[in-house]
Amino acid sequence: MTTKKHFLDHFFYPESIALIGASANPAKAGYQVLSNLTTLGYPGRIYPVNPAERVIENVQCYGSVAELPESPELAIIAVQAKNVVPVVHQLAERGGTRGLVVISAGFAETQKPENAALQEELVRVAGAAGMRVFGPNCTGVINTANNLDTTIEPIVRRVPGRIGAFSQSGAVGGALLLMLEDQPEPVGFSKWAHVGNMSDVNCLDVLEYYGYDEATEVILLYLEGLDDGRRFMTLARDITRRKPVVVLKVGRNEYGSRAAFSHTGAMAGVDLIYDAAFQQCGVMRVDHLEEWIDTAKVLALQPVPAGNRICILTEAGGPGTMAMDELGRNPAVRLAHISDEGVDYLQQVLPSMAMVCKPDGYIDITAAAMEEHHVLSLKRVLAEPGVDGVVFITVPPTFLSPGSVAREVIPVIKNSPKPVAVCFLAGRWVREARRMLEREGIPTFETPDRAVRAMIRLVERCQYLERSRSGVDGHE
Amino acid sequence: MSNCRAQALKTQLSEAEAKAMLVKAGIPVLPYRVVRDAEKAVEAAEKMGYPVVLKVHSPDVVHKTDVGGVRLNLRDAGEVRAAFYSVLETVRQKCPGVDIEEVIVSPFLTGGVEVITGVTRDPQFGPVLMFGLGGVFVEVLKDVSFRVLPIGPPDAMDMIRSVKGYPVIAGTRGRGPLDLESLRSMLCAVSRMVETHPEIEELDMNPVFLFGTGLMVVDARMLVSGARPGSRDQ
Repeated sequence: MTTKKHFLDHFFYPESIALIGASANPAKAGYQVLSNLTTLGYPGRIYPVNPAERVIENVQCYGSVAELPESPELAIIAVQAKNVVPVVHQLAERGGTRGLVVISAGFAETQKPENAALQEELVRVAGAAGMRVFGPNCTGVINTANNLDTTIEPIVRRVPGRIGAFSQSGAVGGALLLMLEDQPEPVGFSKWAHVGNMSDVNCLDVLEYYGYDEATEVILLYLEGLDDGRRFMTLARDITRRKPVVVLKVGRNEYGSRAAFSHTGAMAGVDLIYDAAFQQCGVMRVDHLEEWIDTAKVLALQPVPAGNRICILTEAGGPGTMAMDELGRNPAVRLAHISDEGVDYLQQVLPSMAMVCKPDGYIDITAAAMEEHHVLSLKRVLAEPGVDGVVFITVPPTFLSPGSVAREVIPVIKNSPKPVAVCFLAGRWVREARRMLEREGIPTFETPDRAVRAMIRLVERCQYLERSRSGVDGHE
Repeated sequence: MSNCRAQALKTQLSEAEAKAMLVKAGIPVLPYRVVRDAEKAVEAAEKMGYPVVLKVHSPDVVHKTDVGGVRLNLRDAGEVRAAFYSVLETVRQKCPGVDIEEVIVSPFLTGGVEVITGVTRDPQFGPVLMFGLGGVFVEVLKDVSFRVLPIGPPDAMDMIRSVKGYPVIAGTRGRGPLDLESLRSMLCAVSRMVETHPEIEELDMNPVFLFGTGLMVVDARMLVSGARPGSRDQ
């Protein structure tokens, strides 16, 4: 067995897996998980356990844990709740297993004391035998590096990438996977996890692990609540200096129910304190799934700018104004300054009706612009010393192929050390062009305002890194 | 059993006790004196200079204004004397069974901008600090910012800037900026005080008057875990 540095390596890189409760019935989790493991190409050894079956999906089935040819490093348990603890006992007796993914539901989440007790028993027996527990009531983990998938999440293309995701909701986690896949070009991810009831392994363990994980460069968390806010802050403060953490935290309208001795106590809505905590440890917060994905895409695929001076380069006035409105709403960013030579150059190379720097930093190349106008103006604004990032919007008219604009600007954007947030409008007309860009690792955004918001996230990241580098981010 | 009760016990400090803790923490507090008779009240007022404020002083009275326990802008000895008796009488009527003996005398301040700050404990994050502008900003607009304690100077400035009413204290047309530096030091001092006094459960400094130079805590309330400091139970 290779050395494992972190206990979660046993979950994400197991060399052998037993699936207890494997099933030949496609309507059952025990079938779905086995099918994922076999069809996706997980390279380790797979041991389905079911006393009633001999072979499922061409894999030999075993009657019990005791009959397995070796102790599985990871055991996935998909039996009825009442049978979980006996299975854990069998694994404990056999020894050697290091991790359990307990898919079975019917534990503490039911809020019934007897079921909560069963969960405690499960963790106690596992812990005494050196096994850590994911779940129960969870779907476990996905690792695109080794095609491991213990889940019953909908099948999406497992594209390796830089995003590590973790969800306190299996449903939201699954939706995230589907939405990442449904981008013009599927956005890749490194790891994914759902910890269910968090009886043992909790979200902070996963956060810490993703912090160390070299394959993960952007961490996405879906949070409903934290048990230990202080530990979260300590961990996050350390990780966010190295990689961004983007949190979708729900419960915006939940207010503290504590008796209000003080005004302060009465004002301290739980969510305001989460906001403060995230802000203090450099965690980015988003409110919606789309914003979560846009932020993840831009952080995973574009460089962090050196400052907050943004140029808006648009091929149409309406969408450009939408972008300006969005930019003006956020005091963290401002319009870039284009040099006099830059303005002269742009006026020279662009169609005569082009609106160059009216106002400064805003350039409308107009619908008369062809491919070369897109390319020349984009190149020029990226070369401007006063520009830290560009929001690039085009609405190719019928006489201009979106694909050919995309093809021409791809090398410009790929070779730029400055970030570009791209918006091709709109819909079906530009779908293929967006796909071309994204295939080259250039993120595109559905609307001008979303492109601007993505750029603002990059600027915020830059500002946070500056603040933490200069060591002035408060208390150490 | 008695042990459990002792752990859960929380005590509201009197205004003077709360203010004494703030003074010790280096936070500027409006001068105050606790008196038990009218002549002492007049004596305190003469020393501070008119006009003054009289407020009922009792840890058992939570909302002083609601029970008629505050008299503002008293301009001479006669007004102070009359206010002393009327405060005690009104509050005794409204709070029967509560021991009302003391009144606190302070100068009557004008001209500052009211801000509010305070501390509460969150079950997940522990002690947190709140800052906001007083009056309509906090009451109606809930325009406040929070930080998890402890904080350093940059966090303090950040939380001051992040309220929407910030331009009001940063300087607007016709008025220069207020003393944000002293506001920042005060927030940091509160942070340090909470670190060294884990018994502080909740704290309200409301209002704090912020001036072009300096600031002054006008009223303060504090809830501590355990019994009153210096009491026999402790």
